Amino acid sequence: MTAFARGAAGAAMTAAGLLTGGIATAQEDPLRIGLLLPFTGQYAWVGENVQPVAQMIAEEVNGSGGIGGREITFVQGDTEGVVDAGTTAAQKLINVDNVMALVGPTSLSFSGSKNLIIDNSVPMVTPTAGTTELDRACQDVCFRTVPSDSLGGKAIARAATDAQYLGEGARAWENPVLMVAQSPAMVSFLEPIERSFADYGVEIAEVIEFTPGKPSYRAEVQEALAADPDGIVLVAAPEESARVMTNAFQSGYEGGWFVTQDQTNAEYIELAGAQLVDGIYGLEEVASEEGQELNRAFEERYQDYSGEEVKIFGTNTYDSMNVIALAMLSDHMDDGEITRATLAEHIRAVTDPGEGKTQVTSYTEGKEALEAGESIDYRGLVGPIDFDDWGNIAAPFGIRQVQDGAWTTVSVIPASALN
Amino acid sequence: MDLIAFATGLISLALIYGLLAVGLNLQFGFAGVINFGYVAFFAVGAFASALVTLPPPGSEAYLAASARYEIALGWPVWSGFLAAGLAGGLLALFIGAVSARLATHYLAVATFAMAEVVRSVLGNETWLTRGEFGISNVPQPLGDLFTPESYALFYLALIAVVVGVLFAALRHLGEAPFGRLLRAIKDDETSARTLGKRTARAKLRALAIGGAVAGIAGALWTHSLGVIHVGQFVPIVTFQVWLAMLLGGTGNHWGALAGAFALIAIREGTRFVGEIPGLDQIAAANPSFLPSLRFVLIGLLLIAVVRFFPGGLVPERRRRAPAASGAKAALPAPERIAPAGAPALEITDLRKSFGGLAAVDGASFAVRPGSITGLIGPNGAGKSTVMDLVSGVQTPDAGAVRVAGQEITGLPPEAIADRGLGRTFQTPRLYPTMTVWENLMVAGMPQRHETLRAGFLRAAARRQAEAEIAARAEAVLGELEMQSMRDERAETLSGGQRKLLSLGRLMMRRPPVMLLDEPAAGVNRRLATALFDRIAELNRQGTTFLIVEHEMQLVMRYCDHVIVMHQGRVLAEGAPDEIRADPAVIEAYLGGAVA
Amino acid sequence: MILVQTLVYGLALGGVIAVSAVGLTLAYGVTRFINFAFGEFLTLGAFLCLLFAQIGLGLPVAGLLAVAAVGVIGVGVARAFYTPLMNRGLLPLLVTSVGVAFVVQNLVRMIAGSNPIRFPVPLMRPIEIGGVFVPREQLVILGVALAAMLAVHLLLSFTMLGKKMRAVADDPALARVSGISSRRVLDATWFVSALIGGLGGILLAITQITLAPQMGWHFLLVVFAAVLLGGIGSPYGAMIGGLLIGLAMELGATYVAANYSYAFAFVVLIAVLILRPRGLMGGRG
Repeated sequence: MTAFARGAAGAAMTAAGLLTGGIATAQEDPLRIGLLLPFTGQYAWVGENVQPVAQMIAEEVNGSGGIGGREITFVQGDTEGVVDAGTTAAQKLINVDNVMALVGPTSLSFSGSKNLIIDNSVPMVTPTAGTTELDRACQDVCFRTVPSDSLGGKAIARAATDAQYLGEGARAWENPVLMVAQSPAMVSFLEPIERSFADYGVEIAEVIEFTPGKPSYRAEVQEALAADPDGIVLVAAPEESARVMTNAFQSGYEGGWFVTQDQTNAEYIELAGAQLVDGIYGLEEVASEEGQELNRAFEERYQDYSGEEVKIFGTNTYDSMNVIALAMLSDHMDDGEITRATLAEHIRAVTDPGEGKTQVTSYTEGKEALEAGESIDYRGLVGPIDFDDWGNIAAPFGIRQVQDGAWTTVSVIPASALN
Repeated sequence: MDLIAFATGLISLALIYGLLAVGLNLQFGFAGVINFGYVAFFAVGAFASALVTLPPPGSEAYLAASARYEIALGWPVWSGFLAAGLAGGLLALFIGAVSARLATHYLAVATFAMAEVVRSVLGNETWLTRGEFGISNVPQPLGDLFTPESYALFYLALIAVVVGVLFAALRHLGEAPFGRLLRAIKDDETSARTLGKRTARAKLRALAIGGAVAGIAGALWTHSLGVIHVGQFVPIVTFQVWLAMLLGGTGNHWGALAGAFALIAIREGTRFVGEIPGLDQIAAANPSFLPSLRFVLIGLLLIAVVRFFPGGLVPERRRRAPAASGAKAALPAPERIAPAGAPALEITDLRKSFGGLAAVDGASFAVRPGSITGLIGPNGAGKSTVMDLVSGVQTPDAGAVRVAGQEITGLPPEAIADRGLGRTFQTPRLYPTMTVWENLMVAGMPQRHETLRAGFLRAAARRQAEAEIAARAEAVLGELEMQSMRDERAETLSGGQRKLLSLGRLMMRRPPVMLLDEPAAGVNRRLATALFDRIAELNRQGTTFLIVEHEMQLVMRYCDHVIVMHQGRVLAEGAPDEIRADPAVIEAYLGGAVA
Repeated sequence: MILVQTLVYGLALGGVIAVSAVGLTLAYGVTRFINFAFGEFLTLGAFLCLLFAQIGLGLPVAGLLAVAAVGVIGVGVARAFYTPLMNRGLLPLLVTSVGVAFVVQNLVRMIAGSNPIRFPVPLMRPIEIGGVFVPREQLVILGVALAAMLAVHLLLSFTMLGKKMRAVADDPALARVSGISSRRVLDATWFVSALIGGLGGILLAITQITLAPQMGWHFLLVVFAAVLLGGIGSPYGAMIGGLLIGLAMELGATYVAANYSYAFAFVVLIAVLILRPRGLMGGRG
């Protein structure tokens, strides 16, 4: 045996040993759902935020007897925030762990796992990929419970340019600056925001794209302030957002801020400090103009469950998991079986609006309705969750502002106002 | 469960990383270039191939995919692979030319920085790459002919063929004179230059080939995935390729390939860490636990492999020279230096200081053609520095050096070697990891056979040259009585044997002027006498010698002219007898010890 | 005015880089290899400081405890992982240090989680001097950085340990012959290097306000650039290199393009190395 053959055989045996471990557990009964998300690397916080919310719903499902007696379990697929690791993680989840559905991926990992997902017809309901790149990426199996950044961007522009959405005594922005971090999840806001401001008659004074992960952004902030803005739209991950806002504060900036839905949560106030974020505007997807109490109820429930504030992607994950769980239940009640191919159809069945459908807002509600023989239309925290042909959702947006250390809704932009 | 699909994906990835590792191995394992920006070649190759093969903007396929990139050519996939190799190779040439003067850590970090600049450009120039959006629908060759499931198998076969062909070619190159030269450069570049090797050019070629190989790996990768995104080309990829190469064992291509499989096995195998019973409770409470544990394990495995497998998992095999054919070529006669009237070597008012200390302080002397000239003097007299200045290893501050009347002051070592000057070092600078036979072969091989072209084409001429040089090496081994050590690594030789071998390397080339720095130091008396007999014999055949030597009896017996240096200058010169009698010399150096 | 403002910002960032670079380069001088796990000393310094602050200690006390702890950890890591490989050449040490970086970074993530955490420094408005804003915490950072560099200078110039460190750095064999216990010097060097790294991490935390497990690993790149720019193994070169890289990053962000600011710093580094292949202060090979 040559030295190479020995090495290769060794590697193969290692892999085989590990695989058989995988087989043994995969033959057990539970319904597996893959969390195709970064758990290490620069975006590790994404996986860390999504998983507890998903687990909370899974416990709700399993506590009520599971789905046809089968429990929901999760398998982590760490994408490490790198394309090829995202691909191999998806390969393991799909081919070895035999997951029924995916929660995830993020914008970056979608590029490496797209073909796998489509070829194997694995339904994915991602709470984390708002990129406009997914707007027309895949039909049938791709869904997301986060509105396209093109909608979010439009809502920000609409609110910032129209005083009626900014709360009492506020003035519309006339000379805004846009700061965008250069990462896959952020840059897709750039073009929609820029275009929408122009559509609403306000030119953006300065667009600054900056490198994520830098220790400070003083020069970038200086450039922004040179345009003398009355407001800055900031699109970045929580870490960079806190840095940019702090550096602007330290440079004497006193104007307004608008952040995306990613920062519009209690966690961000804690990270950036209440003093810093006082008065800033944020965005929140809501089910309807009146539907915000659902979001408040979720916040309380999550805090009871985990002892922590709701973090970025929390509401999106809640909807994503409810959709998957209800679709599984519906699929099971249909013919006693759950397969990837039929699951995607049932995702549409439990979310599409329709005459005579019972509107539900949680798994337990949906289960009761389904067991009563009704057909259901799930309405979520981030909108009515009515997927279009490409799996996108449209939603009204709540405009929120930090007042006295907490987010307060100052207005709601109906979906119709964004056309 | 579809283990075949899973295995197909991982083996494909391992082969691509294997190709990357083999390319890096040529750059580092052979040529010793520490390149920490390797991912840049992978990146430009992938982008080049994608942009060459994607349907051009405005075309039917472009519109059907609702694509938004701005530049693409729509050429067939094979041209994408060519473009990838070209792009990787050209980038490597550029980076190599820019960083030619840097060494070790400086080179490592400079290449790292360049790769980050490349990534920055790829990420920012969205008109070319679409930046953080990436580009989907990169064409998959013959994709229409297969179902998605069988396509992965087909593509694996394609990868295996491409990697196999390139692997065979690189392996062939590694065994060719070109590869031998690269390993010599890795072992001791200065010494290779004093043998007349154009090392900078050879290193640049190795870099370019490694770059082209990485470019082609990039093409394989992007077409297998069907998308391209700048987020793939992060520095951690470079680290992974290094790890693959080191895991396998540097310097041999099988090791690099095996290392890539080990890397993927570790990287992907540790994903199953969650199957360990008892961990699921902790994992449920702390989402970061298992993924972090996985990287802790990867880190520990790395540390353990490095600690306990010093040569890698597939250590380099001991090299053996091909069996001696029995043919011994007569050693070539040295070329005569023209014009006959001028001194073989002449230095005029040569000066060199180190930090204010004048090591050579206005030394002038001439070496008569056909002579054995001794250069003696107490320690610190500046003898070795003169050797370095003459051979171009160091540049003089002032003064002139002439060989056969031609000025060579300040030329690089390889140019001076070409003018007919060979030298040895006081501490022999052999190629320690190469065998005695290989040391001789490198020295004897003419440059025209050490090119890439000669590696692949002109096989007959190369083989003939190889046979000829091997016969000469046989002759030299015979003359030095070192036949039994032919396959020993040079680092295992005794001090005296090393001295012999460094003389042997010069005998392979047979330059008309040889500078020997203490050829007999550390050599036993019998061997030392034999060595000087050999020198005298070479001298009779026409070689001129300048020899630094402490052993006075040898100097007096063999030299026909002696130059004495003291404090950076020439104190005296003349016939051995005159020198022995010179009171100034006795005072300064001999101290009356020689009666 | 914009130029002056940019220089002010660049100096403070440069101070953080410079302190970290001095720590890295000190260890290099004695051990002759670049420690890829050095960034983890920064991470540990920041997280330990946060930990001590959270149990109620004041920031200065927490900081002192943290850097001392990182120093001890540094000695432990070196003894366990690096010392056994000291005679095996450059690459095994490099790879081992990458492995150590993986282990430490992920142990931190296991315990602290992945979400960024706020570092408890108060939010302050800047001081304005003639139209130029000088953030107050930047003054603190610069002050601490200067003090640290002065301390290193005093250590190297006037203490027995410093002299021994320089002797070992200049010629390990000769130092051994002269009776300097290289083992004790090695331990002391690792302690000082890791300690300074921990301090750099705390300054980095003050600068970037938030902590994350990969903060040191990310920052390592600019620290490398500073070390190389100054000339590897030269503490004074590292100080200059750090300040220059900080300035280059901020100037690049202001005058070239914000998204090319890292790239600009690297181009400066490459340009300097092409002109002076051993860095500004002519470091060791």
